[in-house]
Amino acid sequence: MEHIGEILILQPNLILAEGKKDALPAIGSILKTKSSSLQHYLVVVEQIVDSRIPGRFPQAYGLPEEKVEEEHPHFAFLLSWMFQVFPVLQKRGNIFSIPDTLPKIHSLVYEVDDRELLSLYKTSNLVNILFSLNEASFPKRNEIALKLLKKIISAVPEKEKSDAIYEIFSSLTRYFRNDYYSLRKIMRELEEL
Amino acid sequence: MKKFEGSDENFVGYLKSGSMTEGFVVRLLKNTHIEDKLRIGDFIVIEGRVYRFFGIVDDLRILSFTDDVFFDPPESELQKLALEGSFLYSEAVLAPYIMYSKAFDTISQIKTIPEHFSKARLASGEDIEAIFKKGNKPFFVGMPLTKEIEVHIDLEKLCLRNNGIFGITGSGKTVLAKIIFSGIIKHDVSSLLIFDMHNEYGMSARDERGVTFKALKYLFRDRIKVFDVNRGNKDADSPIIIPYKFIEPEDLELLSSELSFSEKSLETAYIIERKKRDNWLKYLLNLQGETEEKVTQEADLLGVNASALLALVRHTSKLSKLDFLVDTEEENTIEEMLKYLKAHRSVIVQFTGKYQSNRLAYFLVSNVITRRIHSRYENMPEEELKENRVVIVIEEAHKFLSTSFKEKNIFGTIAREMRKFNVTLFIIDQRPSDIDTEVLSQVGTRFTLQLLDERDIDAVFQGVGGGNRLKKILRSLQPREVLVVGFSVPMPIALRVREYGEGFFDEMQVNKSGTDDIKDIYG
Repeated sequence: MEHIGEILILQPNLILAEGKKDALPAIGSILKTKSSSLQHYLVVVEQIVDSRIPGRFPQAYGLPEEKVEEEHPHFAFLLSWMFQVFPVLQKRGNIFSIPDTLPKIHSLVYEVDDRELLSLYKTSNLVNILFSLNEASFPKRNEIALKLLKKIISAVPEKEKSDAIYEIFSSLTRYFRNDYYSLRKIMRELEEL
Repeated sequence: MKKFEGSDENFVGYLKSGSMTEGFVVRLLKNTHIEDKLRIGDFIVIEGRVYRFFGIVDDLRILSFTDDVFFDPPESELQKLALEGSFLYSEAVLAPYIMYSKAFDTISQIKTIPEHFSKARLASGEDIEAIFKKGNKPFFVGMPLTKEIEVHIDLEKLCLRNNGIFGITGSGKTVLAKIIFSGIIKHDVSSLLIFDMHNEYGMSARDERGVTFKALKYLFRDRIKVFDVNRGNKDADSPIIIPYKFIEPEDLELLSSELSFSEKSLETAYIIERKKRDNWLKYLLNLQGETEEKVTQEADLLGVNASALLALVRHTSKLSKLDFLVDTEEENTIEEMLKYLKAHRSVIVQFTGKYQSNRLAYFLVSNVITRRIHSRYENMPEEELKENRVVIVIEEAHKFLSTSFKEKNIFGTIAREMRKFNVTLFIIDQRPSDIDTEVLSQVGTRFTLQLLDERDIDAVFQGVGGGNRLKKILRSLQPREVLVVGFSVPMPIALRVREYGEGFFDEMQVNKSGTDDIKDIYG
């Protein structure tokens, strides 16, 4: 399996990885590091494309995207394709837990496929941990969680879908005990799938 | 004793809060569908750490964590299902009654309460058996409202005190009475003296649909004697003859509305009794053919008002039409009845033919016979009393036991005092609110079927601990369902009365020889 990015910045509340041009992982995707002793699972919370040269400000070309790439191919080399991740799980041996360490710098990260995503959902506390994050320090929590849940539901075989949605709805009622309207919003979007 | 734990399917929730006075609140599990699983009156067991607590569902409620739910209600069944148990939830309120010590296998009244999160479950058959099958003479009378479990009542205990069956017409009073009386007779717990106003306890009886059912005499031919005021009843073992001398003015007082009696007439009757002694009624009835002039002369001789005497003669004319009232010195009827009662047989007094549903005959005969029986028992040696327990059954009991009459007839005395003479009352009535409260307070066990009038419901539970809770259960009862409260049951219980049909008849006749053995029935 090919990696999808590499962790380059490790700061309090900010972990950034560099990805590939036009191939950044979707927000809400679950990524993982590969290490035999300690594996980290991270959720993609943001995509960022920024200049590699400090202080450089890009200029507008006024052309369609394809034309820009054709006529000014150098611009791609001046940009970095980054994404922000948030650690949600770690796995030591076969034990999942809330992360108490950060992944190593330059760790390569890989996308978790549908099968593993389902397995994570069933065997770990992935959704619980995500919802236990404080919304004040993680304002996009609900949006990220909704995207993750959509991925999980899409990964569920068709005949098990309504049971899975029911299970997810039931657990959501616990996290949104004091925010019924957010719960309803998420429920509505998930049921549309 | 068997160790019993509720199966998972009986598990309904957890104890959320509770107090001795307010009851226990059980938060129901989200998969506990109230409509299917619970109703008022159901038995619930709370598994405490040391004790098992038994209570009755007293209230059920559905609640929401926030009203927001109703401003933006769930749009699909899936969403609604998911909200159940969190935003939407339900609770059962239990009235706790008794607790069972797991270590010592003993039952006692509630003295403590279980801890938070104690498991609540529907009572199992073993639970109910453990509670209701502890007595000497247990008898199956019905099943809990939502369970097919036999509930037994201790007949021995039942007959130690006065009892009552209350319910509106068609609620199943007579069927329940026949079931209980069958048990009493079959297990030889007591002799019964039944004043059978509507002829429902003899050989057979018809229900409201016109279907004929076997009655007590059919089931226990050798152990019941039927007496009838109607000499033409071929099913009766003996006719009833009441000598004039047995009638006392107090009997007329009880019959005042049937005889259209005034207070003045009653005073006149008492004066005549003082002067003519045992012959007072004979004297009075003999005046009926006399002229007004003759009656006036007699009034002068007696020193009573002539018009009062004329009125009394007129009012008592109905008595002369009662052909079981006879000018005789013989007391065969009472002697015969006493003989049967002392021989552990039961006696049914019937009112067939022209006396069917005749209130005048019913009130007069039951009052007179009971007074005589009472007097014999009152003077019976103690050793003999121990062997001769009698339960006197009266219908339309409010007539005898109303506040205005209870002091003046024998039933009030029996209700208050006769327990010590081994004579108790079993009253069957549809208007308990008309029965004197002091008498009602002497009713040990109350079998209350459907009642609709609030005054009657209030009357039945007056002075009963937790009466308000029990009223809720009572209001939810259907015909043939009964709420049993009192001395002979360890805790109140709502029951579906068992079937009174061929199965029951077969069970009652298992040992016709009379060598009843509880094991034959209960295994």
